[in-house]
Amino acid sequence: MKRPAPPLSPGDCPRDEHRLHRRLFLEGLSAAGVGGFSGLFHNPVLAAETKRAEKHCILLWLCGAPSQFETWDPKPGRPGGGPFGSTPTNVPGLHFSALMPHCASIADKLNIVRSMKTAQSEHLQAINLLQRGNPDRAGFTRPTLGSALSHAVGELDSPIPNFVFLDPIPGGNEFESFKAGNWAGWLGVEHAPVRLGGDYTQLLDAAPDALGRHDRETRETLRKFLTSRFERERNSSIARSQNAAFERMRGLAASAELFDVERLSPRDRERYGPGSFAQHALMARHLVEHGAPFVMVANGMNWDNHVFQHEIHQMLVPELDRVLFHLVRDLEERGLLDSTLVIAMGEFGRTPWLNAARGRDHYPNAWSLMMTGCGLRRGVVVGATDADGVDVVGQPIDEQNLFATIFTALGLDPHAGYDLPGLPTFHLVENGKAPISDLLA
Amino acid sequence: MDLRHLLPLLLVLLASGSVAGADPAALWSARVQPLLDRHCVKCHGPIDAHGGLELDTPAAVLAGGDSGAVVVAGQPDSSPLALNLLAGAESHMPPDKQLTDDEQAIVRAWIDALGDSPADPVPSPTGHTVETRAFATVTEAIDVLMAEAWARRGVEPAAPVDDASWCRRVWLDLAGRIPTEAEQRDFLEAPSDTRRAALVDRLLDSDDHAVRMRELWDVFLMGRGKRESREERRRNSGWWAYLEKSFRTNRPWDTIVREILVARPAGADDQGSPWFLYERRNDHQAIAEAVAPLVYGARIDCAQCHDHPLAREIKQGHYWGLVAAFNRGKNVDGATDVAESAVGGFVNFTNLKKESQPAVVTLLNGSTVAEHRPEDGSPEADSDEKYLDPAAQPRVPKFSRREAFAAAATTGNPLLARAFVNRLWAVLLGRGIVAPVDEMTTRNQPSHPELLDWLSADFAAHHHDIRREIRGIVLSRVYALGNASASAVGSDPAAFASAAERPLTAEQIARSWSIAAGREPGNDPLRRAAVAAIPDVMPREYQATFQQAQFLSAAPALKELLEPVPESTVARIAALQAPPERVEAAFRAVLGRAPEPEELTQAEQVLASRPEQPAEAARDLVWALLTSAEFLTQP
Repeated sequence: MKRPAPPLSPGDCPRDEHRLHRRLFLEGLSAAGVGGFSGLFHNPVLAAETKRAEKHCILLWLCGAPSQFETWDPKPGRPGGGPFGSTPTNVPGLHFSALMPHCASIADKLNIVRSMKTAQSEHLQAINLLQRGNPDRAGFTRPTLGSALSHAVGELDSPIPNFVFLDPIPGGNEFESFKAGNWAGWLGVEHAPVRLGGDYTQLLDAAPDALGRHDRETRETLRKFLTSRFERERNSSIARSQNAAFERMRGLAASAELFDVERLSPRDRERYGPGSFAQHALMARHLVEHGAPFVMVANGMNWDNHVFQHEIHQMLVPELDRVLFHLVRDLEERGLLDSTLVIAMGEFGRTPWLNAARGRDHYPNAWSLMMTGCGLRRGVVVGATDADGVDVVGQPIDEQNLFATIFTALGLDPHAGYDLPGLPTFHLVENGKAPISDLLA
Repeated sequence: MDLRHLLPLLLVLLASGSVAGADPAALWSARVQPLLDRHCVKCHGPIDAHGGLELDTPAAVLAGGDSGAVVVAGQPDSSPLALNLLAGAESHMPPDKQLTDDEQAIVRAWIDALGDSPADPVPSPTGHTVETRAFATVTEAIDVLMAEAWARRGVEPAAPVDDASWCRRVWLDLAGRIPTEAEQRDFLEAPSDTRRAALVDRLLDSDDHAVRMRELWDVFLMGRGKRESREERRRNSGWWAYLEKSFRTNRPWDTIVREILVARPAGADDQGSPWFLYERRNDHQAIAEAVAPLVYGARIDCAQCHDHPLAREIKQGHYWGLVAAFNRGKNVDGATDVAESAVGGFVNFTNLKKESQPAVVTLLNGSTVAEHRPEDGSPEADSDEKYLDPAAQPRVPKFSRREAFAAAATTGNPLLARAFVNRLWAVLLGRGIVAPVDEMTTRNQPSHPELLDWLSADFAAHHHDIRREIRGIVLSRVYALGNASASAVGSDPAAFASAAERPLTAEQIARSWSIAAGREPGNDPLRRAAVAAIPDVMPREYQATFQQAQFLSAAPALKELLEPVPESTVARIAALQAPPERVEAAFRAVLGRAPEPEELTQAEQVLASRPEQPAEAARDLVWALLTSAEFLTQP
């Protein structure tokens, strides 16, 4: 059963007016409550049967921010252009960085936005901005993209979580703070991401260990019995909430094999490459094949190369190149590209000049990202930057335009209002900001 | 007030219609005010009064607007307030929305009720007289006033918890952990007429108590640090040590607040006190937003852009005045100090209508801090003579805005005591007398106004003595109440007729697990893992996350805790022979009580599933007890 998209409230005008009352806000929260999907599925998910979610999104979150000069918007021969040069692509007149030969050969399947211009130059604020798609409003936490999509296109009672976040790295500086924060905002914990990858997947007990499934079940049965008893006797909402969380976990354990990297096809694993990022991108494809609506893949905050920019990008970019190449082609081959939006981006770009440590610093003023798939054309380049990449030439695109494009591509009305009683009126995208029309199919 | 619990009351009132008995004050507080707040007050309230009409108080509604009265008492069919809500009304309200029939019925019911008792449209929840009474102790005041309140509401408080539960509750609240079996036994064997006060006094004096208080107030003042490195810095800067020392020496609360606002530590022990400002990294608005709940008991974040839309006493000037109090401050590189300039920091702020005003250091009680303002906005020149000792590092200005503010906020500001007492009450009773705890505005009525008034005045009159306050609350009857029975579902939590549910914090859980498992205390990896998985302290809405379930199921630190090492609970239980013995021992060690018959049956089944591996079976049993809702909740 599909959740309806958030309805448009008649007469809603996206002006900056609001009524703020925390108590009302909280009442809204308690109304949303903890629903949770019941883990009633005991059968392993079969690929052929389950394509329940009709639309999907894979976000390759390049946290720390990749350099646009070493990826999508090279400036060979310019003073700050860097050592790598450019390569022609199979779109006439379009060049990528020479570090991306694979993507160059499928440029006609990708779309590049080169005119991103956003307002936040520090990681925590910028990650927040590019994950939530609108500036913050004091007192309210807007859901992140994954949570919003979990709510809008996700499935109730799905054995696969509606929002999977694959990142094996516990840390990541400011990203660590973000990860520990509130992803789902006013939508509530049932739309929070399920964090897997690396040790996080071990917490799923997916890998067989000394403790067989039978024994896990036994002790969980007792825990549940005790907690349920407590719930009944005290009418305890704490107990109720705990049991619901455990049910979610059990539901997830039923499809645990999907989160085991070892179970992916060895040939596929070899194609994508050995690193965690590559393996998790492959897993994301695999999850989408099994109906996952939204999978976000990250690898800590590894792109923030203020120092040794060229050395580290020389390792990271070819990996990204290879991963995107296989991911997009695989999805297309499986007939999934038209229903799966693939986005590769960071939270800003990097400076057109080098700093004293031969690195590039943060640069939100003009940067690039890649997005293709569901609802979008192919082979489009949106916007341009000047000769050195210092500024955007023509119409700049901000995070609200970006999110409007994402929602539109997935078949959602970006200006629809959330229907949450007691809250001020919020929309998926505020201020009526328009999607990038050149990209829409 | 919690609307869900007042629904039965409302239904009764609505059913009785206009027959005498419908109380307009109760209806206003419970249903009408929230409705008007949500749909009408934006345009008819403190920020804007379209048509000269304000709808945020009964008096305002009755006063009407430019076109005259909007309510005729007792006659909803002649009252524009009700008529304009109808679909298709000529002057339909609200402009772009249609209130449901139920919502309209609420308004009509209130207008009806006004016809019966027009004399008292203003809500007066307790009808108490205003003079302050004398009580010998804090506990006596609480006991008497709560008893009166229960009688007035016609509720029967729950029976008190048994001594074992009381003991466990107090240990967790004051020392941040469960008692060992020996400590519990000692309590139960001590003379019953003195043992409670004796335990409380002993715990208040302990180091555990200082740590527990630091754990709470670190989160209240600073928020839960989201990164490991942040926790390191709070420790290394001396902030934790400062808080612990303050609580260990029972430093008066007003002194603590003053010290962290002024951020000029006197002695080496207090080096961490500037961290409250320092961690905010010169974000003066963040500082202002953190200071407001501390000195006013209310968040004023919304007053950044306009006057508070509902609480008339909170104006934009207060927000920016608070920013101005701190915006001459600047973190010193390489040391946990916050320097302060003698000049500058004159800012203007604009409201939604683009009107601009200068920010003046202003307190909620209306007092302002007098200072010299340079004429015509030209920047004042800084000079050595403006500082006490120009060579000091950092140098201190002769006139310090934040010292002036701190002095004004901690003397002659009754909200300081009120905010603390309310929060302390919320920690110990699960809910503030004003709820939510950081919304002590004129808009948000206390459930027990006379009690809060008395406690606040008494706290201030006794040097803001924290320990004395805790003792007074913990020895009261309301603190010792048991939980509501299942049949008492629907009673109003604001009545405090039974103990509220209170989830344990991660630190309480980690320490208590170590004790229950019979392992060494001070297991830092366990504590860290627990804090990462269960970061909330006193959440408004408890929501067990997926991460929490993952942590409870499979955290390595928890698995390690259950290893059957010698002397551990698991080993001890495994060594016992009879299954009922094992179950009983496990329950006593972990939950501090004997198992109920059906619990015994279920637990024995777990043991029976692995007869040849008693240690593993014992481990499973202990795990289920450690992760049960009962263990993870305050008794």
